[in-house]
Amino acid sequence: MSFGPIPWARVHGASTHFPLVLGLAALACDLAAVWRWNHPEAPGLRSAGLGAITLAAAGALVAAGSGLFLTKGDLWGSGTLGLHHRFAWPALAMIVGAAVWRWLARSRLSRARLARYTAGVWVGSMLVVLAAMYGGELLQAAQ
Amino acid sequence: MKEEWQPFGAAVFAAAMVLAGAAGLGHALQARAMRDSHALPAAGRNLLDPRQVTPALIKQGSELFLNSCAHCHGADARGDEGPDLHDLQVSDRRIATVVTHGIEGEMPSFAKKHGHDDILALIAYLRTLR
Repeated sequence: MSFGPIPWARVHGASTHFPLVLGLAALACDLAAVWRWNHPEAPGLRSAGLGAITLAAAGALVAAGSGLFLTKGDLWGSGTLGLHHRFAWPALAMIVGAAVWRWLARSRLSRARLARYTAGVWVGSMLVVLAAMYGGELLQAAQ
Repeated sequence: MKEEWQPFGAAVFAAAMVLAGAAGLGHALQARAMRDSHALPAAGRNLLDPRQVTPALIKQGSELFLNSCAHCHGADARGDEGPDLHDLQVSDRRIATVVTHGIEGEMPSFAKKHGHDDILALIAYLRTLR
């Protein structure tokens, strides 16, 4: 059995949806958990937020790796690709950093700390949205 | 207080490691792409004899570039939708292959529009971009 070359464009296109959607989902769950801190649903919301940011970070790593294979290692580029990378690299750092913090701090979360964390995830998610917007423009230009 | 900063420090460290890993992978992939390009038989690397390069050939290449390539690579070849073409580290053969066959999903083929002589002129022009 033999496999053809890995279609990096498809892998990149599919994996970028994980940080895009799950980053926002994690933000929504954790914001709801902050808001409903003393309610019975809060632990469930915090667990959902933790799971979502973990999958978002995993997806972001796959997206970054496949993107590098797609561009043959071009870390920055110019024009629209440069704009895409300008937002994609900080977004990757923010989402992975947020996931690591969330795991390490999960047993000693306070309402204030979770609120500060959601601010960081909001910034990371906005960076992902902007990176995806320019990524979409690249895709459109290639078609 | 120290305990409170531990997860934050670990998060910053993890983010830095991921970016460093991405940079390392990027450089490795770039090196591989360049090695593949230069792995061609020596006779195939250079299509253009330096003695062939004249100001007229470079001018012809510049005009061809403005007509066919500037739309994506920018009029100054500094890149737009396509990459910056200054100081290309690939062989003449590689440039000719890309112009002739294109890159799937990224760049169209110019085989019908430009023949061998046009491609030589384009290469002559591209080699002036530093």
